[in-house]
Amino acid sequence: MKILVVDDEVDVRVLFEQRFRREIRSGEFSFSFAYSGEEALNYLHEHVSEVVLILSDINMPGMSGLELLRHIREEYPGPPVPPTPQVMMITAYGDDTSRQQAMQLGANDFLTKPVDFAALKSKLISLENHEN
Amino acid sequence: MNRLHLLLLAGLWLLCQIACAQSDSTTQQLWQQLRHHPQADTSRVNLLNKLADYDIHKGSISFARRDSLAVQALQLAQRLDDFYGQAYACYNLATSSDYALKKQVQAKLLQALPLAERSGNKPLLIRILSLLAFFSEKQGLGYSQRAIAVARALGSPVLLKRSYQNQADYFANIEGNNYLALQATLQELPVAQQTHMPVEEVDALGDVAERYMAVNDYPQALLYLQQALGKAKTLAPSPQARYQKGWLLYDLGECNLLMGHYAQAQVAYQRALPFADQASTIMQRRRGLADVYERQRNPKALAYARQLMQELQQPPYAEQLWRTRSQVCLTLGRYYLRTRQADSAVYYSRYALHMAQASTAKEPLRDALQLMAQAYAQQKDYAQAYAYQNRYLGLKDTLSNEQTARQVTAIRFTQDLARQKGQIALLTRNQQLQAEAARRQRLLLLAALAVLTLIGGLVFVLARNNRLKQRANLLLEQQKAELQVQRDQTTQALTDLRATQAQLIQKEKMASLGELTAGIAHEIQNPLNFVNNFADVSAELVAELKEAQAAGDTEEVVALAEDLGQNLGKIHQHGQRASSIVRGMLEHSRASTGERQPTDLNTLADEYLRLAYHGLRAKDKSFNAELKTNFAPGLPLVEAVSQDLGRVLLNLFNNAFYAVQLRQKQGEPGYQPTITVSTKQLNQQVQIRVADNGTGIRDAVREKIFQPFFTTKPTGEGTGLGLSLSYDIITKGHGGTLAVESEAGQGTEFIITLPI
Repeated sequence: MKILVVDDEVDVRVLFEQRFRREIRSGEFSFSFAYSGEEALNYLHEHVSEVVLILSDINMPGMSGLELLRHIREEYPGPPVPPTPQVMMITAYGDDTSRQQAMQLGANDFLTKPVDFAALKSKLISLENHEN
Repeated sequence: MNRLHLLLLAGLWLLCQIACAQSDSTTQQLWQQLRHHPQADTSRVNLLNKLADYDIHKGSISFARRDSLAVQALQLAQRLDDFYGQAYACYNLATSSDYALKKQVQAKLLQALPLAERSGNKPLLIRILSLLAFFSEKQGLGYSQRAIAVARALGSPVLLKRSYQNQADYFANIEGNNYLALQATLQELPVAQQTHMPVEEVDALGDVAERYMAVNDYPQALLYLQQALGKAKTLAPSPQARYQKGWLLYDLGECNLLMGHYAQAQVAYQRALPFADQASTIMQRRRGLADVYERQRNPKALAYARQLMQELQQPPYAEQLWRTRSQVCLTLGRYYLRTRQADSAVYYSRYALHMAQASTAKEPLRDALQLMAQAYAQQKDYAQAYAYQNRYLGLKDTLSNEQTARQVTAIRFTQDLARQKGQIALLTRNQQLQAEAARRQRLLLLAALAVLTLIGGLVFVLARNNRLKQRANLLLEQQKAELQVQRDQTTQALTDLRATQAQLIQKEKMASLGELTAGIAHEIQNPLNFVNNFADVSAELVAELKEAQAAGDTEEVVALAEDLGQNLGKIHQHGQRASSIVRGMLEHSRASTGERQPTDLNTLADEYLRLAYHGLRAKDKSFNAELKTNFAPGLPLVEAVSQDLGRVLLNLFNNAFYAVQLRQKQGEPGYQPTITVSTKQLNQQVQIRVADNGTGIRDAVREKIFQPFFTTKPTGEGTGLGLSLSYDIITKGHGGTLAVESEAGQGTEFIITLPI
C-alpha cells in the first residue's frame, strides 16, 4: 500500500521510516514524502493510481493541508473514472472547527499531534485489509 | 380668416356688439340730440363723431355724409382745442375713406395719433394704433405692439384681448404668417378668460380654432371649436351670440370637410345656415354644403351646386364673393371630372381658375390648377394637362415654401420675444437687488440702533457692578481658597493619570505577549512531537538491537546503532528548539532589565518573525503569507536590550501581518501576501528593514502613527501604544532611528537604524 506523507517538517521522513521499518521492509507499506501542498499535488499528478492514502499536515507555509485536500477532492472526484485516494489530516490544533472543516472538505480521518503511531498503524492495517 | 372684413370695416368691432340691432334707434336718438344741441361745444363734437362712427356699421348713410359729419366735428374741435374730438374726427375720416387708398387712410390715422395721445383717451388711442397696423405695411407690427402695451398699462382685459386679436389679424393678413397669427391668438385666449365675459371667451376660442385651421392643424382646431361651441351654449340670446354660433358652426363644417369627415361637415353646415342673416354668409354656408354633397357623391350635388352658381352670377353677387364662386366652380368641376364629362370639367375648372385669380386667396387657385390638369388629362390633351400640372406643382411648392418661411419667421419672433422677456426679467432682478440693498441698509440701521441700546444697557450694568465690587472682593477671597483646593485635586489627578499610563504600557506588553502565546504553543508542539516520537522509536530500536545482537547479525546491529545515534541527535535538536522558544518567551515577559548586551540581530529577527507568524496562524488558520528573509551574513553584534528590541520587532511584524491580511480580505485576484525582513550594515550603523505588501498607510495617517493611543484598528483590537513604545525604545533606549516609508494600497516599510 502506497502512502504519501505531506509535512513541512523534514524530520517527519526519518520518523516514519523508523516507525514503519518492519512494514517497509516486508513491502507491506511504501512511503513517499512531500514537504509542501504544491509538491504533494505535483507528485499526485504523476502517481495518482499508485497512492492509496495521503497523510497531510494542515499548517504548512504556502498551500495549507486543507487547500490540498480541496484540490484532491476536486481533481479526483472518485469512482467510476479516476481513483480517489483516502486522505487523513494531521494537525497540532485539534479544535472542532478544523475538524469540521476537514470533514466537510472530504477528509477520511482527522488526527492530532503528537501522532500516536500505534493507533495510526492499526488504522493503516485495517485500511489495508479493507482494500484487499 | 373670414373675419378680416369685419375688422377692416370697424377697425375694432368694439362697438359692433352694442350696435347691430339697436343701432337704428341709437342713430335716430343721436340725430335728435344733435338737432337739439346747436351750441358749438365739445358735446356737439362728440355727437357728430358718434354719428359718423355708428353709421359705418349699418351703411345707412352714404360715405360722403359720414365724411361731412367728421369734417364738421374736426373743425369744431379744432376751434375748441378739443384734442379728443379732433382725434376722433380724424379717425372717423380715416375709416370713411376708401380702404384701397392706403396712403390716404394712413395719413389720416397718423394725424389722429398725436392728438389722441395728447387727449389722454386710451381706448381711442388703441383703436387708432390698431387700425394703423393694417395700413403701415411691415411697420404695422410696431403700432400693434404699442396698442397691446397701452391696453396692458390701462389694465383692461377687454381692450387687451382685442389688441391681441388685432395683432393676429395683422400677422395673418399683412405679413401672411399664420404661425405668428396663431401665437398672437394663443396670447389672446388667456386675456379673454380674464374678462370673465362668455362672449369674449367664445370669440377667442373661435379665433384660436380658425388660426389652427390656417396652419392645417385640424384636430387641434376641432378641439377648440368644440370648446367654443360648448361655451356658446351658455350665452344669453343676443344678435352677437347668434352671429358667433353661426360662425363657429360654419368653421366646424370647414374643419370636418378638410379632415374628410363629410357627414359631420354636412350636419355642421346645415346647422350654421339658419344662423346666417346676411346674404353673403348664407351663400358661403350653402357653398360648403354643395362641396360636402359632391364629396359624398350625393345625387343632389349637381343640382344644388348649379342652383348656387346661378344665384351667384346674379346681382348683388355678380362682382363679389370671388372666392365663394371659385369654390362652387371647383365643386362643379370635381363633379364633372368624377362623372367623366371632361369638357364640362375643363370648363368649370377654367372658370374656377378665373375666379380664384380675382380673389386674393391662393388655395382656390392651387386647387383650380390641379383640377385643370386632371380635366385635360381626362380629355387626353396631355400637353395642356402637363402645363397645368407644372403650374399646380409650382404653386404648391411656393405655398409650402412660404409655409416653411413662415415657420422660420415665427420661430425667430418667438426667440426675440423670449429675449425681451429675459431682459425684462433682468431689469426686474436689478430692481429686486436694489430693493434688497435698501432693505439691508435699513437692517444695518436697526442693528446699529440695537447695538447703541445694548451699549447703553452695558454702561448701566457696569456702573452697578462697580458698586458691587466691594462685596465681590470678599467673595474673591473665598474663591481663592476654593481654587487652592481644586489645584490640589488636579495635581492628584495628574499623578493618577501617570500611573494609569504606566499601567497601559504594561498592558500593551501583555497584549503583545498574548498574541505570542498561540504561536509559542504551536512552535513548541512540533519539536515536542519529534522528541516524543524519536524517543519512542529509539526504545523500539534498542529492543531490536538486542535481538539482532543475540542473533549475531552484526550488519543489522551496526545499522540500528547508526539510527539510534541519528535519533539522539534529532531529540537533542528538537529539544533545543523548544527550549529556545521558551527562553524567548520568558525574556519577553520579564520586565526589562534595561541592560544592554551584545545581540545577534539576525537570530532575534528570525525568532520573532516565526513567533508572530504562528501567532497569527493560530488565530486565523486560513491565513498564509510568504516570509522572505535577507539577512546580511556576518552582521556585527549590537549592544542592545534584546527584550526591548524583540518587542519592537514583534510589533512591526504584527502590524505587517495585519496589513497584508487586510489587503488579502479585499479579494484582489493574484495577491500573494509577502513579508520581507532584511538586515544590512552601513558604516557605523546596522539597519533592519521590515517590509510588507499590505494596505499601506495614507499620508494623513502616517504623520500620526507614532503618537500614543493612535490606532487604525477597530476599537478593542489595538491599544494604540505599540508604535509609540517602539519609537521610544529605538530612539531613547538605543539612540537609533525608526522611520517609515509607505504608499497607500502598495505596502509599508519600517526601517530601524541602530549604532554599532
